[in-house]
Amino acid sequence: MICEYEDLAQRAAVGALDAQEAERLAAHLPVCAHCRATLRESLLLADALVFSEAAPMPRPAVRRRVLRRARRLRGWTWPISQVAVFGLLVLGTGTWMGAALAGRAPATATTHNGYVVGSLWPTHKVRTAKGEVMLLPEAGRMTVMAAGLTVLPLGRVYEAWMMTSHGPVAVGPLHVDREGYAWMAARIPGTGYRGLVVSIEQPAPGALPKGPIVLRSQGAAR
Amino acid sequence: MADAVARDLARGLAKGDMLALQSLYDAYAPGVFALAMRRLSDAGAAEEIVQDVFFKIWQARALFDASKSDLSTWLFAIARNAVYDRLRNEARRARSAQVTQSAMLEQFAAVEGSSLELIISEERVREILGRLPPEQREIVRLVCVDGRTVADAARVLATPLGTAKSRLRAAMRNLRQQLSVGGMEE
Repeated sequence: MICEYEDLAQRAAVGALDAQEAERLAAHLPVCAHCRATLRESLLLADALVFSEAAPMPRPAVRRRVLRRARRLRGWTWPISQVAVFGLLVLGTGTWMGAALAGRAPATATTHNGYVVGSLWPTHKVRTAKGEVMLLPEAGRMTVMAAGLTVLPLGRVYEAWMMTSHGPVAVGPLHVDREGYAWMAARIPGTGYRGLVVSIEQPAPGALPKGPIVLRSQGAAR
Repeated sequence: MADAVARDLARGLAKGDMLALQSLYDAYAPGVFALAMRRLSDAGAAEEIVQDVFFKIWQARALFDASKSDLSTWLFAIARNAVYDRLRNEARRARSAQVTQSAMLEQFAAVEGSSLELIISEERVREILGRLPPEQREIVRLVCVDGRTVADAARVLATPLGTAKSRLRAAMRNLRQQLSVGGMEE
């Protein structure tokens, strides 16, 4: 250690100083280039760790606002009621819709340059529902969107499950708004993606889906 | 994010493709939000930062050069600027003579010469984190990533506070050393 204050400079970057330590360090920094450099580097490092590793998602409303502002800037003026529908349609579904309308079986998933898009189809439980799943394997993230879901009674939640070569893995709960739209972003919970299902479960479900499956990607194991 | 995906998204962004913006948002909004939350400790302010950052990216999409920087590094730099600008403005408004950690941090957030900024990519962070001994990695995750206090982390790990502090100190020094070595190599 070059300077006895180095530890304080490192801990300041992660918010681990008490008020007295912060005052001591603040008085020391103007006279110590080493500790100033330590604080700068530690701060950058701590920020990079949070940016890369933490995974709290802002509320879905933030995403809608970002997209709405971007669309306005681009000159699009979609009616508000279509904004949520846009989310479903935009994920590369143009081609898929064409195929579906023509009565051809949709693909299980379409692999684009670096990402995978798949459609979710209703089971007999909820015939009105539809959805999309998108995976960005390199970023380790996935998005699930659905429309036409019914609002569940208290004590029941929609849960997304990724079907893998090792079996189903829980992705997380899919929160439905009053209009039946649902959207979630999550870390991809495993490897060997083979499809996705959405089932109705009790909150904090177990390791396997137990409730009725309401949405299923084509080819997802039954 | 791999180069091919980043190039794909950068091309999409440049063309004004909303799908590219959505993909970028889904991949990186958690990181931007977490960073803003950590430094601002205010969910409302953090959400505003997320909106501003992605809107700035949309506005500046033509300026991004995939051959010079990777997308996550670019986004990280924009997010940091937004967070520390906000912190700076709040410190000015408060006009407090009290020494606070956040007031001190915003002064030192800028990276002179920007050499370190360039080498901190997501992959690099994960790589150097993965090289830490497990007990150091645990304390880094709890304190730096999850935002727990050192005392809280010590309780979770069932170790004395002094041990937790020394592990954190060693971990931070290790990480910085690895980054510096990476910087020299590059």
